[in-house]
Amino acid sequence: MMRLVLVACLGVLFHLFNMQAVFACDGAADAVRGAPVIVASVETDMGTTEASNNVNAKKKEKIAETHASLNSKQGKVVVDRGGQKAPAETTATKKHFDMDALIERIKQSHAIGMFTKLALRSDALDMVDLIKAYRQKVTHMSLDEVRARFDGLFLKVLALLDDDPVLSREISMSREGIWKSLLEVKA
Amino acid sequence: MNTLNLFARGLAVALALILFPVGASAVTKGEDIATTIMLRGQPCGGNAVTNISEQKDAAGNTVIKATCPNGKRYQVDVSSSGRVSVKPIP
Repeated sequence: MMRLVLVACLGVLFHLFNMQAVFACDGAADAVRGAPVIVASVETDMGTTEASNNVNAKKKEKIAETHASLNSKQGKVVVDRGGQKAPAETTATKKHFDMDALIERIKQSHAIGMFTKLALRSDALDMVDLIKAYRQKVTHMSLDEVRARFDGLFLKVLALLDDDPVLSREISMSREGIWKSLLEVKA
Repeated sequence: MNTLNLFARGLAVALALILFPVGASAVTKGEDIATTIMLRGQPCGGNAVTNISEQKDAAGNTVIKATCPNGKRYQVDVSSSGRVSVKPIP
């Protein structure tokens, strides 16, 4: 009987731990996408027992606001309720900060060693030089070939970060943002 | 009483394992250099190098020599600006 109770307790604890990990991952992923963490909190609230109409209405409003802010952050033109077009926001500064945060997290990650980080930095600098050369038409490589090189380097980074799955996932989701920010590098 | 004590200890160990999972162990220097060699496209034949020797000159350049598990010996040059290059030692 005691064993059954113990196993049940461990099961509940393990389940709770997994739920926390899932919510933490969702929150981190949404933060990377540029969405406010409010989505995670809304999902967490949905798990509670209070289910009055007012609360549901507030949640719907929050979700609508979240979607609206997501659309505006992605550069889309959002039509508000009054039928007027809201101005689209540029995301260059936001992406720049995300990029810096990702670089800082790679620097602090224990999944890869110092020399490997330096080698990756060299590869990244070579990639920046290649893109500069492409923009100045010094190289005869096409944009697709440059992109293929970028994808190869990206896969290397993801493979090396195998022991840091959260960071690997966040970098994986930021692939297009990183590519765009590389293309925005001044020649 | 003894059984209860044993259960309490088991529960404590289980809780410790659940709440404090084993973190990603730091990469050793041998593994780090082997990964660097392989990143530069050189065959190494294993995850860690041996016989590591490291020299740093006055300009801040670092020269590392190491032997891979496949028997090949490599020289890893790290410039003062942080650029890394790898070449096999004949």
